[in-house]
Amino acid sequence: MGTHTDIHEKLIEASKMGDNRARRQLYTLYSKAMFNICYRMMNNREDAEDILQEAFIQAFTKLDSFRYESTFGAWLKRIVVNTAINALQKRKVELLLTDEMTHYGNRSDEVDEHELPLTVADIQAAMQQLPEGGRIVFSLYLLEGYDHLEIAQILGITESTSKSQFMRAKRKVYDILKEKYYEKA
Amino acid sequence: MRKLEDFMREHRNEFDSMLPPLHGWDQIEAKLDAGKKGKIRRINFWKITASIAAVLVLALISTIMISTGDTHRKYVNVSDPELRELLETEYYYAKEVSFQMKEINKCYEIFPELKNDIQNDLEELNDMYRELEEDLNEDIYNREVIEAMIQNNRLKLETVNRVLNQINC
Repeated sequence: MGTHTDIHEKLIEASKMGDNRARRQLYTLYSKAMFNICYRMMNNREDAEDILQEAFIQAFTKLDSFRYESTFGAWLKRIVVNTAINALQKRKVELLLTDEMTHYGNRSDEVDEHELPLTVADIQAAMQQLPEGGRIVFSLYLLEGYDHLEIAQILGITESTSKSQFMRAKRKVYDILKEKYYEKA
Repeated sequence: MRKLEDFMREHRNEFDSMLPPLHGWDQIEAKLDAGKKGKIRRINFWKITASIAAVLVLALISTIMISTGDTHRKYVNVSDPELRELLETEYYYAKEVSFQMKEINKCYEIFPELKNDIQNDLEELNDMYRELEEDLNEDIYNREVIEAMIQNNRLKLETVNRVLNQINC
């Protein structure tokens, strides 16, 4: 694995030395993006704040292990995601209900997707209604940029389970959006 | 269902619409300094603030005062928690800017040429900020103005951080 130059290398190195000003700057730069990941994972603000705090403390505590093998943002994001998943597992949340692949491909003609006006707010609201596992896979795949193999490794599931959960979640988001659309119409 | 995926990828940045907690860094710094391990307990400043605000509402009937720094103060009706949250976020960024300006001012003493590099940008942003403050004084409920103030402060932070990242002072 190669090494990456990081635009915040000076800040990172100063933070490794315990410089609180540098740490604060890293927090300022990354806290918004990381908080939004926390929120999508935990689905409520209070838990998201807890996870954000815990993840940043972990990151700064083990910053010496960051060797520029990825970008700092990607490294930090992985800590945030793992911290959130650990918290959910401690709550004994059933993240994934089934390994069975559900085939939705044949059903796409049931929804006329071009009728649906999409907005970020509507999709966010629909995501909040997803079951825990589906919401996490959906979010990791479409918003956090992980592929199904990576999601499988993160969640300790098979790649096909990740794919099936994603398809299930996407169908559910679509159904919620469609329902809302027809309610308004 | 490709449309949904395409839409989300095209509008990826808009999905990061939540703002981090107001006193997030203060708590992390305290924990790091204390070097404590084990379960991290969060002090919920939102709840504390809300409690204090509620008491003030009862006492003062309709308004509380939120300070946004030494130089400017805002009055806001507390009956709208979303507006108060937005104003507190603005306060958070104003505080961050204030902190970072003190840092950059220290650097000016060592590297006076720095001041020329960024002062124009900062002055411009400050002018815009003052105009926004005037707009806000006219209409405290104007969310767009508050959001613009937050964005203004974020730009100032980015400007100052960019310089601080490049130098050691």
